[in-house]
Amino acid sequence: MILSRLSRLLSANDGARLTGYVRWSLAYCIAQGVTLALAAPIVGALLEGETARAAAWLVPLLIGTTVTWQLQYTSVRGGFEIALALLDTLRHRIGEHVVALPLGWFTPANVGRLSVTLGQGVMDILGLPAHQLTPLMRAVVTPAVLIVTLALYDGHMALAAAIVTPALAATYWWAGRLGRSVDSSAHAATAEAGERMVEFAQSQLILRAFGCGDHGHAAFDRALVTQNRAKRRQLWVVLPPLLANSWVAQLSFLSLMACATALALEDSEPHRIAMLVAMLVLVNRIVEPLTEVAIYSAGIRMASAHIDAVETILAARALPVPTVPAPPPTRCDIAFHKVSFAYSPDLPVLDGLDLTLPACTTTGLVGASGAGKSTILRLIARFWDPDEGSIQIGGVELHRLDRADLMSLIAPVFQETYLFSGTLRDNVLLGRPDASEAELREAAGLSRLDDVVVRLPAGWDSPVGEGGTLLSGGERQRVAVARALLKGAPILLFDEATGALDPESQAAVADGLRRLHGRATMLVISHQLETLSHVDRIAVLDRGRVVEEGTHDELVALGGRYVEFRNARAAAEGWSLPTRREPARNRPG
Amino acid sequence: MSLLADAFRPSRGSSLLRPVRAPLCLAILVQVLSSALILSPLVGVTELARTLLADEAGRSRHAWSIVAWSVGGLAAGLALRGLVQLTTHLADNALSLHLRRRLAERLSRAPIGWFTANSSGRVRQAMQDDVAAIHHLVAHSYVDLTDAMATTSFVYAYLAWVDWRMALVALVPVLVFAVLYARVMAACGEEQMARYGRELERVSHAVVEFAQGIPVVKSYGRQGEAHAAYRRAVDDFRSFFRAWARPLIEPETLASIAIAPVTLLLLVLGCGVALTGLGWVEPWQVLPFAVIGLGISVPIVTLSSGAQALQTARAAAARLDALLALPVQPAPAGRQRPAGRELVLEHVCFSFGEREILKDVSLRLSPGTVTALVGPSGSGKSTLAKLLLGLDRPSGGRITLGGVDLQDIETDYFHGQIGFVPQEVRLLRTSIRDNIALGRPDASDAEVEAAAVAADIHRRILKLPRGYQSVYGEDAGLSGGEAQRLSIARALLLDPPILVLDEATAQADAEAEAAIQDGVRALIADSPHRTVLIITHRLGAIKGADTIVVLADGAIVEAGAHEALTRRDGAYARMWRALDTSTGSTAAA
Ligand SMILES: Nc1ncnc2c1ncn2[C@@H]1O[C@H](COP(=O)(O)OP(=O)(O)O)[C@@H](O)[C@H]1O
Ligand SMILES: Nc1ncnc2c1ncn2[C@@H]1O[C@H](COP(=O)(O)OP(=O)(O)O)[C@@H](O)[C@H]1O
Ligand SMILES: [Mg+2]
Ligand SMILES: [Mg+2]
Repeated sequence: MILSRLSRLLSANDGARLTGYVRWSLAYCIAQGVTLALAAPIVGALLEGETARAAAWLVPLLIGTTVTWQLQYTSVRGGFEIALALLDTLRHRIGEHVVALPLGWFTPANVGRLSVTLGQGVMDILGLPAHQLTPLMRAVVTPAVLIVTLALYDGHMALAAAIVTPALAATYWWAGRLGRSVDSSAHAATAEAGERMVEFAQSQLILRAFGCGDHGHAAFDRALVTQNRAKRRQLWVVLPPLLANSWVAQLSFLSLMACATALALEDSEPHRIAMLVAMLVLVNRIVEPLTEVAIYSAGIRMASAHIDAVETILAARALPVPTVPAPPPTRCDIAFHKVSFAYSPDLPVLDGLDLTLPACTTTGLVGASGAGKSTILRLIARFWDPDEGSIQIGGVELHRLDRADLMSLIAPVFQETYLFSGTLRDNVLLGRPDASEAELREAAGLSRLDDVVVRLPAGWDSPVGEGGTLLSGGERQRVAVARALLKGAPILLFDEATGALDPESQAAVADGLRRLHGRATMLVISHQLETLSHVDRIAVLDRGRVVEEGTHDELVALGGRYVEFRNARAAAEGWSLPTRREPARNRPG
Repeated sequence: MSLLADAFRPSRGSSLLRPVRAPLCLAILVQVLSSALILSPLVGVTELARTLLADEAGRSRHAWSIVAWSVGGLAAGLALRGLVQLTTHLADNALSLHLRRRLAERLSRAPIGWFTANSSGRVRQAMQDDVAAIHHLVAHSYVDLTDAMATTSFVYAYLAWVDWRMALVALVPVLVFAVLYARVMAACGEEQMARYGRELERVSHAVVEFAQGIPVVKSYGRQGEAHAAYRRAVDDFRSFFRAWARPLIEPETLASIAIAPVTLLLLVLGCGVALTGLGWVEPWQVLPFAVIGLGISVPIVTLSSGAQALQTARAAAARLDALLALPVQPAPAGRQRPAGRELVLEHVCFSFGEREILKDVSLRLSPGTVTALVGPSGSGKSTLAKLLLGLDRPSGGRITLGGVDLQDIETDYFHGQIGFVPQEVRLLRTSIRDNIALGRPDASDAEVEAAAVAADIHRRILKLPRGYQSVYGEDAGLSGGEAQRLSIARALLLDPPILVLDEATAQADAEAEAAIQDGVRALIADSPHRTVLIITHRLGAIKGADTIVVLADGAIVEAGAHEALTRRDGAYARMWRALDTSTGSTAAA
């Protein structure tokens, strides 16, 4: 059970090592049992006054002890090696699996579980072979061996010892069942609280601005309380069986003691009495490990809950990949054909969308916020698969492409810019770590990041903070644009990528992008219609479809939805108080 | 005993433990008693053996009374132990919540800059893992250590009473163990444990970024691999852990062999046989060594692992203490409620580290006016807004509301005065309603809806699966523009006299922006004495503002109404020209 699950987390090679480790551990436990059993004849002989016989028995004891030492050494080291093998591979394996999962998988619950698992969880799983499996085996196997050898000396005593085993097994089973019933809720509560802590840290600005700075918001405190309750319930449920286990084990000690007393009082033969007394030495060797079974099994239960979590994560299905991927397309036109998509079934976002982005042209995408523009971009990046219809790049269906091939074709700038803590340079180089200094500077020039680099004291080596919080919104966007440009992909996707830039920088970046015209297929989403005046074509998105398509002039001539958007801004009164008279709206110059 | 003394000494670690000191002390005392009682059957066995072997009258009665005493002692001991465990676990459960809340409270008062300088992974590590380490200390380590030490002392006292020479011999493995284990402990010094904590924190941090930046990771990471920073953190952790743990395997294994039951058995029996042969000890005297003497290996092992847990907890406690000792932003000195509502900046300066972000900014925001703040991205607009909110303190000059320095204004009152829409939209993972009602949790549903209507997001919310009860991030997903409108609704709900909008409609389309402007206008129409500060790049929207302030490089370069600034042909006029070039025409605005 636990072993086979553990071996599934290991590579085939290390799996074989696990089997080896288990064999050595078993041998060690048996050897220890047999060696300890030798105490009975030695003590018996001593008590009978036969020192010479006792001395003779010391020889096998010596041999047994050295063998046990050897085996113990080998098995304990084997356990550590397996732990280190897990350390080497487990986190990477999970990380590589997770990166291929669709974006929809990254729900707060899943992310919480992922964080716990990759942090403490992995450490607990490592503890299994390193510290817990051998003692558990020892706690079970050594007493069993001793009971068997006890039978060689005295059937009654062996029986008295064996009789508690069912009771022990029952408490063990009971403990496991109860434990598992509360574990999952405790784990979920822990993961949730962990996520809330991250949220708490990242939301300080608004928490304080809105006056809930003292304790964070209600949901945060609720998560802490829930975690606390879950732990307390776990405590009340887990502690009784744990105590019961040691009671039952100690009970067996007393019953053996009573049994030996009764037998010895009936008997008058000194040899028998001496032997019975000597057996009491073994009794403690049987009972002591048994009292620990519950403790070790509790640790194992905890680790196996983490293994559950790992298995759940690894079982999450990535978007289907082709067994034989199509060769990457040479042309980079993008075609949406009758694409429908919805995040939740009852609310379609795209509804039979047809859209073509000819290779090496720039297409602007316009639409109300919430119209589905970002969704189109996400579908091109295959963060989701459409519910219906097909999306092709260069005539190849997206789902027939290898994920890596697809990602090397596109360079998106998302609406929510996300930077990783590290330096400016790290973040820009993300898409092409081996880019030359000249290429870096060129990308920085086109995206106007060079202005920022000059201004920041540490230049390219300025830290950006987690999520980019050390930069202003506009600076962050420039980093994201530079990152995309540097990647050098044939398809560039910009989702409101310059919204936080001032008009001058915006114009400069738009200029920069124009220089790439003809070199890449570009999709530009923007509410700033001015930035779209030079693109080859503009598509207007409304109610899940493209309702208008054409050049700026064509659309203006058409006088449809596009013009409505233009006029909306012009007609807007702008930011002024209602009571004031509108000043004249003259343009300068 | 020095380990135990920690619990009582008013040292660093114990200040965290103050709330549980009384139950902990009690538990430790009771544990000593319990350890003694639990040993009674083991002592009983020896006495029993002597009684059974002696051929005296009344041995039957004597023997059974020993059994009865053992039963009684053991039962009492186990009962006490159960009590101890329950006490410590419950005490700890309460402590964990207390500590987490205390941390939350403390962090909430830390300068906001602490959060941008530190990762959210650090916060989670402290609140979750470090508190858990303290849990281990309170719930397990102290009691386990007491048990181990009491048991070992009682055992050796008893053995020395039986025969001091053999007792000395039985002490040898303990000494060997101590020498070997000292090497292990030396490697678990404060520095190493602190390093361990740091490395784990890095992994934790990397997981946060990995999950939150997953769109970027997917499209910019090296193909088929997890996020590079995550892989690096994992690899660094791995090399650290290997380098640290690997050399410890050898001494740890050897130490456990030195104290193994078989080792002890060989030693006491060998020595017992020899001494009996010499006639120095009676045969029955060997018995307790074989019965109880072997039992010390468990407490000794507990002692060592407990000592390790103690080190871990120490490191955790040090980290927690460091957090709890963070400088807090000075609480408002006075509890004033200014009568006036004029917000005035006088010669305000602000720097991040060496870099001066705002330079001598003086500005007056009067009730009944709209002020627009424009300027290149990175010029310090958002920083200025944060200062107005009291989220950061100016490093020079002062900001007053109605003539009273922001520092002297009662916090709750102040939060009711200012509504803020930050540039970075941040929604919490709670219901849409609670998100809007963040600053006024007691707002009625009608008020929440009115705010949503004003921000033009009400209709979208109704389409969510559970309307206002949908939980953002769980069953409610929003587009960037929609999220931004929710964030506006949040500020509008406060119905504040002063409204600060930081690029609040950057992601809104023209129609939505017009709707929001109308909404805001309608909402504040009833009381004309509002103060509004708009930060925006959409110059067309601010022509009607009373004052337009142009910020460049942290200093105000121009201020005035649209007309006047246009005539001046300075920075503001230049920005307009940039807009015109990017439009490429004199298209009507
Ligand atoms: N993760 C999500 N889960 C559920 N609904 C979403 C999610 N992301 C976006 N939506 C919804 O899908 C619609 C289209 O969103 P989006 O493509 O982001 O719009 P936009 O055109 O503004 O970029 C919106 O109504 C939005 O509320
Ligand atoms: N927490 C911070 N630590 C250091 N520098 C910061 C921090 N926040 C912002 N900055 C820097 O301060 C400058 C002004 O930022 P900000 O006020 O956000 O500009 P904007 O005018 O675009 O709103 C930027 O150059 C930015 O890099
Ligand atoms: Mg969008
Ligand atoms: Mg800003």
